[in-house]
Amino acid sequence: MMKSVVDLPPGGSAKILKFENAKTASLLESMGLFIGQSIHVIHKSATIVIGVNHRMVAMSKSLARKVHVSL
Amino acid sequence: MSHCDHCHHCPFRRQYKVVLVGHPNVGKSSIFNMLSRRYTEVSNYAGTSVSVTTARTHFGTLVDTPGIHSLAGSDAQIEEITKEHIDEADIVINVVNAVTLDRDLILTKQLLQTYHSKVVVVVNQADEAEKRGIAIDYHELSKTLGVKVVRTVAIRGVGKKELVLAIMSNVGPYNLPCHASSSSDVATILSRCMPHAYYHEHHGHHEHHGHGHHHRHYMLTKIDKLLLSPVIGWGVVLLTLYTLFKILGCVIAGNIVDYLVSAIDKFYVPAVSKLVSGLLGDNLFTEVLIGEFGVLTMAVKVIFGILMPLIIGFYIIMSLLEDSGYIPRIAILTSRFFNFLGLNGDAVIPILLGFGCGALGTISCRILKTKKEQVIVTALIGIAVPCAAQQCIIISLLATTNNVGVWAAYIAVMLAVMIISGKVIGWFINGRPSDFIMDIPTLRIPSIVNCYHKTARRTKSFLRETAAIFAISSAAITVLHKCGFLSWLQTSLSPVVENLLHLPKEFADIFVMGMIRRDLAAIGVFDMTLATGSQILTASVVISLFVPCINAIVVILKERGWKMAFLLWISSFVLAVSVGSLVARVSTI
Repeated sequence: MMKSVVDLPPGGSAKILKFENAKTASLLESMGLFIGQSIHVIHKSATIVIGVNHRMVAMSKSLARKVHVSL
Repeated sequence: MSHCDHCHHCPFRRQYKVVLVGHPNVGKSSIFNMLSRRYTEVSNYAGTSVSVTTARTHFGTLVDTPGIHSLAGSDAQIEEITKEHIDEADIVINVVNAVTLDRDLILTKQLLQTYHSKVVVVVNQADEAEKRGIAIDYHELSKTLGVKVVRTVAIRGVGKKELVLAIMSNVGPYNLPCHASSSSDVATILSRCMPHAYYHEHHGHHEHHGHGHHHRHYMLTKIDKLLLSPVIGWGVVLLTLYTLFKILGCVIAGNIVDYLVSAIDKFYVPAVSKLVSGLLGDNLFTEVLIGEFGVLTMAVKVIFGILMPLIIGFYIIMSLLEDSGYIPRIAILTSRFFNFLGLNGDAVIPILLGFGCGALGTISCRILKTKKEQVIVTALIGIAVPCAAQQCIIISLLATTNNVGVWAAYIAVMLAVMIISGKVIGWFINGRPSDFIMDIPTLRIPSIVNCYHKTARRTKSFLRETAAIFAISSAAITVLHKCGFLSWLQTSLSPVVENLLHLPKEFADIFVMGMIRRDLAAIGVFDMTLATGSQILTASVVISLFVPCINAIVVILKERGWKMAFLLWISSFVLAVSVGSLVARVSTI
């Protein structure tokens, strides 16, 4: 089932399946987030903090909704 | 190394323009400091450098540019500046962070596609990567990218020699095949140059890095979860603010300032007064130099006895916070508040810089992606964000009440003004907040050396900026006092000052001082005898909300235009008086 990053609970992990549009893809790829990459949710509030490789990236909920993941 | 004219092929023969380019917070400024032996501010969060810094070196001009995420992204204003410099450059040093290679190589690929022949890649913070078990094959990376790759730990000067050699030998195209300019993706590059690290992380098997690395990573993630949790996270923020209040208000203002002011009053002022009056006699010039607002008495006492110890204390605390990487955590905690104002977490950086200096905060609004965000944050800085010197004085002033309630009331009023102003401005400007994404730097123990350099640099800059203005203002105030203008102003404004604000009529002088500099106004209040906690609270609110100082207004004019500068000036004046009178009424109930 395809869900977005906002649907993941804190501690949950998933793989990025697709980005909602080209603009989102460009923004996230420039931050080192690619399709097929494993992510895990570290913190969830108005901003979502995800762990990716050796680092943490914070993103707004509106942006997180545009990142589709597979559970 | 000096300029050499003996050999036609010598790379020292001409001077080059070397430009540092890379993502925010990868260590460009640290590389700049390492190569130029100059100091430009370095912090552990993105957005420290918002303008270009240049230095002369033995190989030519070195340019430090603000961080960008892409050559075709959304940081429009900053990207334009950076691209101009890249086009003019002889050599482009692309700084990447060893820990975030997967992210940073996207920009590297873009640079190589257009500027391949002049790029040198610097992999910085290599020690941090090694601590995490990330092993990079630099030779393989260089072969894959087709350019020179240098390993550095800039804050410790590691890799300086290799980097200078790489710059010098990069005059012509480097004869390595470039695989990166093709469509080979970053994953392929990473799998070649760091196969182990990439494989394990990509598949989530962190335990393969060994127990030490895993334990450190686990501990840091745990600490981060605590710092970001609503209860403990906000507890730490409040504790940090309380510590700032205690150190500045009680330790520095209550002890060091008292000691210095009494020493200046006891030894310096009588000596200089005796000397000047002996030399010049009794006239207006003597009054300007050693009178009530004397350039050699009051200005010196204020700068060296009161402001300097407070400002140094403030800068040290800020440097420690900036270096530790704690600031982006505050940005995440406060993001809900900023979302409510139509902003996002990016707004924290200019606002925090505004707490240092309004002019700097306004310039750093360039990192914000939409005009709406830039206007709201500029207005908030101009209206409700007191500068460093002003905050120090206000904290000291509030500490004299010995009542944490007064301090809490002050913060509540300022927050309320910030929320209402942000909301009202947001209604008048169309647009939605931009998508927020931010790299969270690793928490680290602050570097004492960097903290020292940063504090020294900021203090020097503060002194340079303040000394002349304070001297001129003191002289002007003496003249205005002598010709009766201040008495006239006090009488004219007494309905506002005494009836509305419930403050002594001498407070009218503060309005004149505040128009020149906000910290000058704060000093005026500090020297004034305010009888009650209510008066101290009202005075603190009025001077915090009062018009932006001359410096800040000039920058607002340049960045946002005269209409906004004018509107901001007028509205902050009206707001200061109206909110002040409301506070005066409510606090006496």
